[in-house]
Amino acid sequence: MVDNCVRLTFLSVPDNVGIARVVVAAVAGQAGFSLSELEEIKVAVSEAVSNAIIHGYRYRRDGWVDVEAWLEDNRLSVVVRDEGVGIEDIEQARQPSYSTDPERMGLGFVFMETFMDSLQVTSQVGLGTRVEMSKAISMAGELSADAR
Amino acid sequence: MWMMLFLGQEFSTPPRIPILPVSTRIDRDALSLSEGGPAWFRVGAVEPAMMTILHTVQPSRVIVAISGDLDMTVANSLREALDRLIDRYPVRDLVLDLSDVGFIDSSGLGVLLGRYRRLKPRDRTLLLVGVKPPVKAVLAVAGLGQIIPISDAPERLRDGHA
Repeated sequence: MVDNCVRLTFLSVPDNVGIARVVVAAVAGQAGFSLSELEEIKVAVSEAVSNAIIHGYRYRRDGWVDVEAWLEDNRLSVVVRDEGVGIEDIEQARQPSYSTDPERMGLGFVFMETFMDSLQVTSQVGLGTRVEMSKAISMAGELSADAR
Repeated sequence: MWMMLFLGQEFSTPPRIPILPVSTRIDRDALSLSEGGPAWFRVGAVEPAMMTILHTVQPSRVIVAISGDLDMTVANSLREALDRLIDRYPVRDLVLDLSDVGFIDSSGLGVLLGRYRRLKPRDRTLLLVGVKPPVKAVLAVAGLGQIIPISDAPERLRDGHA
């Protein structure tokens, strides 16, 4: 497989959520991820970037969001970083029931955890939040998991 | 150009309906006109905030066909549009046809769950039909399948039993 790295920097504008998830899925598509795994990656990226815009920047449209996606050793890693308000209590924020918006269900982190293999969240109040997640390719080589 | 071709292959989605505000009611003639539209309509995944909804009113229910990605870009407009229909037809059940929805995340899911919560106290039901595998996977993780009836079949196949 080809090692690769793509970096994206964009404003905290909701329309960019779709761009981010499609670009990361396109990077993942260079490796042997199955179609359903690519869909899972899209959901995880969408959650991380939505969190940056909604919670990090509180819908301000002038903040920067950085997304870095790389392929290395049969694994996709994604980092989503914002310079927003930060998270005071990360453990609490990661609980399924926790949400500042009743209709978002607080499932963002649950989806990232479920659809990726690993998730690390670091944050400093007032400085921003960094989410790193990764997912291993279940079957490397010519055949994707779909073909098994 | 390469990107368009690449995306077209990687994320092959059915032809999209042209961009219209979410609350717009589109007639079926307008929909059929779009099917031979320019190729860039089909690169749906990178188009900004694109969603259309089309509703049909039946004696006991309102069927809403939704087209587009259900994420934070469309959550507010979708919520408002569905609430308007829920209020306008106060005794009918709500059927959401998701045959043309290829992506949903927790923002979209929140809209569905929120509508369920509005309907339930009034003994009205929410039914999801035409649910595609990627969408179903997200609904399953959230445990939504246990509280909201979900069907793979698009609504038009069910008309005979309506």
